[in-house]
Amino acid sequence: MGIAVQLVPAEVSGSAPGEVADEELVSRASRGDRAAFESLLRRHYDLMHRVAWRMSGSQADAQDICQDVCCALVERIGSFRREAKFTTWLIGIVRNACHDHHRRSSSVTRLKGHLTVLAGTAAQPDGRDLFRRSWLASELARLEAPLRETVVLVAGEGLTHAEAALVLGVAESTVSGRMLEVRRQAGLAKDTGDEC
Amino acid sequence: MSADHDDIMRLPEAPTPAPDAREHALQQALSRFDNENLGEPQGLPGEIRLIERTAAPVQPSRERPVMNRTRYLIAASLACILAGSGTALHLGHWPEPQRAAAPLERQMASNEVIQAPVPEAKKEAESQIQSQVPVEQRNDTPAPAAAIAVPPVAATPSVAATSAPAASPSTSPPARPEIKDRLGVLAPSYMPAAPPPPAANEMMRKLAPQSPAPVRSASRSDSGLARAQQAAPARQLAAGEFGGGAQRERGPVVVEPVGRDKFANAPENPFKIVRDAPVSTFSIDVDTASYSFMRASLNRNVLPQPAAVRTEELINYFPYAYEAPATASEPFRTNVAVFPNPWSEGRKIVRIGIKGYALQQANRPRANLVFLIDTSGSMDAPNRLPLVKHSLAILLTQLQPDDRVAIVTYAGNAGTALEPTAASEKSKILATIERLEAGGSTAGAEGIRQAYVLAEQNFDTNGVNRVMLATDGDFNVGITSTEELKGFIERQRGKGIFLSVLGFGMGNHNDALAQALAQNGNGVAVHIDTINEARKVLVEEASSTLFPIGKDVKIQVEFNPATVSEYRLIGYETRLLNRDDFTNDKVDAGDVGSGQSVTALYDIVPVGGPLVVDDLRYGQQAPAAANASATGEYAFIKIRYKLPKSDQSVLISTSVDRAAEHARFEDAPLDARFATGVAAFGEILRGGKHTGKFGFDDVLKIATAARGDDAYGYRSEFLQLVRAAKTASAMRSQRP
Repeated sequence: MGIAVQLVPAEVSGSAPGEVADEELVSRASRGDRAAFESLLRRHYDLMHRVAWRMSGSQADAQDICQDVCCALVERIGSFRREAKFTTWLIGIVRNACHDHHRRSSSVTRLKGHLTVLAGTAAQPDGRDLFRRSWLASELARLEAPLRETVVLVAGEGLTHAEAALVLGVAESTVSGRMLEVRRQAGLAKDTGDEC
Repeated sequence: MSADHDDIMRLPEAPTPAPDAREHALQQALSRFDNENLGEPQGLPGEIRLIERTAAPVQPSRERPVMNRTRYLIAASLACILAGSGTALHLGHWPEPQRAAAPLERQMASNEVIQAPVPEAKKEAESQIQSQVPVEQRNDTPAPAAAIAVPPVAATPSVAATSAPAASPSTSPPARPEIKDRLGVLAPSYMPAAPPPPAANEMMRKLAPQSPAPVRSASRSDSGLARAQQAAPARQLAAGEFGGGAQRERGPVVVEPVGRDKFANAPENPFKIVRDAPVSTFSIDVDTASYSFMRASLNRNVLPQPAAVRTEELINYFPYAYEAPATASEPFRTNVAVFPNPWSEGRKIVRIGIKGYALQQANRPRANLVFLIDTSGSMDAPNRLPLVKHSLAILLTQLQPDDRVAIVTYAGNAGTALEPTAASEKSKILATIERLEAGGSTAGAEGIRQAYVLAEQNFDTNGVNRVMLATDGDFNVGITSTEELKGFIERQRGKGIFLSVLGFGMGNHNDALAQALAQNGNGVAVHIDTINEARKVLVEEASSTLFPIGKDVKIQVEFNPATVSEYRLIGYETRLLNRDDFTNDKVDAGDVGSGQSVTALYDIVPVGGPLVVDDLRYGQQAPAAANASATGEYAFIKIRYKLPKSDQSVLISTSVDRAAEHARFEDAPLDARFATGVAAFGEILRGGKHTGKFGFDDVLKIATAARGDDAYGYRSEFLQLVRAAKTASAMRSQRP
């Protein structure tokens, strides 16, 4: 895993001392405050992008997903009920958008992609996207989708198991179980490199 | 990779988002935000579907939506063919928002009757609808309940639309004439509207006031319903009540739960220095659940989790041909062997084999059995309830005519499926078993109470009274406190009613709870993964599963410091006892069934051998052998047991001396060698901390040579499992 880069701890987004709290911005935005909505998006765009990129491993996809989420937030912002932290809630939406994007791209884009490859018109992968390469080289890429999204939320964004369970719509014990499994798989890959 | 446990894995660093993409997304969102807050009549731009679906939590099984859409598409194309090419043309004219709000596929799919006659197109009607739509669009109130209740029926467009634009939604729709259904089949939004036959037309005029906002309901009722459904989980997402998966129908594929298994286990026993701790005490363990679980896992080409492997259960899975005790008065006989350790030069293995007295069929006590069967929804899988049914039917063949059987099921609330019935009434029992069905949640505690009540009603003072619990261990309703359950089972054990646990299924098997319950209930915990396993446990070993000959069997081994410097008990980590527990009859321990054999292996370092634990610099020097007469002995074994009806323990003891020693591993008894192979296998699966370079191939070599008679093929199966483990681990290391 030489290429993989050490995880930078999730920046604690939210209210720095001099800043307006997320929750306040949300309520303003849902009352139609354009500036509040904009600053909310600006504040959390990086978070959305990071989660989307870790889930998909593609910058283009991550950008698409983020745009979808931003647009979706216009409608959804009013339905934030404050039961969870805003970022947790937001990550849930990003995660669902990732699924949605994946589903759409599986049907249409991939078909198009295959066709362009068949026709020989596709651009050759130039290998310049180093981030793409690092993603592909990381353990993350090899995890199954449920495990991957769990680890992105827990290890990547620092969500507690309970919060991640909320986002993923599963029991908290499932999250813990998945993390154990991730740990096991990560450990195994190392331990059995030269066995058998 | 990092070995650090806190740092699970290094996540790749995310790239900085491209500024222009960010700006673009923000501008998009903001312009939409402006539109939204201006309350523009064109409402929501094209991608409302995305938003809706984004908001809905994606259920765990992802094949569902794909399936659905495929179905819709098929339905849509079918309808299109029937409706003719005009449909497609017409679709092109339909206002964009309307289509987006109510996806074509959904509407088509909702109308299941497609064979309705396609009437001639009528221009006026069409234009009416067209003009109606924007109005409906504007007052975008939630679809009225009545419209949802009658999805496609309200689809009669032209008449109803014109006559009742502001109908009251509270009126419940009356039964509609059939003709309306027929017409409703081809919803107006994508069909040139049909002129209703005069009679129907008249009728509908009358009914019209009661049909709420017809065009709306026609084009949107279905989507409205879909919306309502989607909106609910969406709200849940916001409200923090995630997991709306329950309301979705289940896919045809049975998905095994993953990663919810719970195991009882502890790390491998370490080496102990004889001078410091000469005595090793443990309780016997005749469970075999761990073996079946490991097999089920390996058969899926996955190495079992180390925590799932309990080495002693692997060893005790196999019958060993130890010399049997002659009489019932002394129900146990010990077989000891000492031989070189195959995985470590200079170390030795001490094998302690205990064989229980086998009851004769004739003087077998009467059995009073209560089957407590988990019929919760989680049991609804081929390897669960159906296997339980087969297993019970198999067990029935082993019962005597005067044995009694009762069946209690529990799912949501517990119920008695079969009152205590003599085993001679086979057909009645079998019919009851056949009728069992899975569904609902699990109230394990409630069911256990009821089962014990039945067992008590029918208590047989001279017989064996046993509750047999068949479950996947997913107790999720009722008393979930394991301690409370354990206490309850313990008190029942005091009354003479024992408990055995038959575990089924994988993925959410609560092995830890099954173990705890069975240990407290003086019974075995077995895991039944195949019909063959059911046969082994319930037929070939039926008498040992059902009829105990000794309870609270404890073993205490005292090593001789003059001959042994270090020792390690292989397995039995969950069964270790304190030194003083041995003579304390209040301390519960494992039980041995009729004819059962139990094997324990010690990995010892003889004096002068390669020490595992370093000597202390400041420790005292080894005292000279205290007892010159005992220098020849390796250890002294004491076994305490109670007869099933007794509370007084009896002591058997035997010494391990040079007479039991075999100079070469190859000369050791067949069973001892095989058990060693199994032990090595278990240790390797658990991480191989003490087995050094010993690999699966070495296990194969030992076990193949020691296969012996193998009447039931268990040992051959073991060889297959070792090979499977070899492939599974090779695959694992091949991963890119």
